[in-house]
Amino acid sequence: MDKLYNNNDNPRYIRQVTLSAFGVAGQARLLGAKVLVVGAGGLGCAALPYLAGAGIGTIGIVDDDRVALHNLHRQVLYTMEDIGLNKATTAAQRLQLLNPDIRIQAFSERLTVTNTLDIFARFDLVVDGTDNFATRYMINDACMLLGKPLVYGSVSGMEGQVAVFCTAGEDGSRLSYRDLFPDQPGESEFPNCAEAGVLGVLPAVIGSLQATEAIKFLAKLGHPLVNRLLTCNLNEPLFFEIDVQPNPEGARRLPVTSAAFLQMTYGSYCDGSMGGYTAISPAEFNELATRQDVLVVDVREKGERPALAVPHIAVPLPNLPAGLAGLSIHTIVLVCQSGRRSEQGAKILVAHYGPGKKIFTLAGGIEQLQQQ
Amino acid sequence: MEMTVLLFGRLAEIAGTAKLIIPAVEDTGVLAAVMHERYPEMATVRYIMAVDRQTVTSPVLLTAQNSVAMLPPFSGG
Repeated sequence: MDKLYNNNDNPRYIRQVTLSAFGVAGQARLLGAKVLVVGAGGLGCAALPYLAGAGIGTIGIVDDDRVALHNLHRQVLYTMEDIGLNKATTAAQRLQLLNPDIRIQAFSERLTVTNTLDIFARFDLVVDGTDNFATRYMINDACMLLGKPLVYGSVSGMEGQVAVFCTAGEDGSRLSYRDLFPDQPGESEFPNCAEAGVLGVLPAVIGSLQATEAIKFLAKLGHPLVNRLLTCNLNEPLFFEIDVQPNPEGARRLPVTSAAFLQMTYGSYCDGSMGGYTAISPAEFNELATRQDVLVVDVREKGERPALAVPHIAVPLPNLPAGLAGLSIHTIVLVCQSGRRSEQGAKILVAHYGPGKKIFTLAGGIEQLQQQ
Repeated sequence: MEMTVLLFGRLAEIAGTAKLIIPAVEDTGVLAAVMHERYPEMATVRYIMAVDRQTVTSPVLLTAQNSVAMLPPFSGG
């Protein structure tokens, strides 16, 4: 590391060190920085190569998801050979080939309320590349609690957003995503990429902007987007920036101690226990689906493709739990396209039946099943 | 007098456009009511308003010179 700090002519970084505003000092700051990227999906795959290439000294990657064929149009760190492999470890290996001089640490587990503070404490800055509100709010709250700058990024349709939160702005105020939206929206309120679709280049644009903001912040370059939300609409195209003003409602909802954070409920993505039902893998699903004492329920709308190839009944999500009335079967497996609707259905059934029935949901849905 | 309303995400989908020119209204509360009347589905969507690129947390007075943006949260990644 000393060699890298002291050698102004290290060819790896010479093009950015030559930038007068960046220079040797900027490079030293990046090499000394520890950045955690949560999510190695569309946003993470765009941000990570530039963070590694720029020489962020330590990069952590958290993702418990596995590479699937339908990821490859936008998650270009991965190849066909990586399908089925964990994203965090696969991304870490690829990035280490790009830059062997830095330290890359993979966390192949899901981020939950119990491991978040411990993992975050080891890093200087967090990049949010997740795909659900639950994890986003948990990351936001943890960054506020620990005082870690957060580079937020998200996409929807043909639009995306970037901002830097949880660090003092020019006026000294330290704002968070809760100053925009104090309460965590329900996961079903807005469709995700699996349900609404996404153009591959959109997370590439937003993830690159996140890497830009992280590098600017750490190298003390330019004007980071602190307490400012940049929205990018690729359709028009246009960039639109707003100043985030303090919202007392948002500040009130933040956990102010570690104990309070551990008591927060963000939803099944983050609580680790999944609240009375069990998410199963395609292999477990295939085993359960052959059993006579198990009922498989497709909760998609009528006519959605591909058709489910195992014996099942079709009860669209809005018809739960009434659509299952009178069925005496004890074990129910819910299935949908991506696993999100079946998870909502599982919650509905747990609330309706309590412990009286065993409820399963196929994680990753039929899309994941087809990958096997 | 008219004013400009910029729409993002789901709100732009509902309106079928990212930019609306509407007759000026006196405050953000009236603007929300006008928008919800014109596009009832908007009343079911969570969003914030920004007046002249500053988020607002309570109703503020408007003039035709103000531009208002309506932004829902995004979660995709």
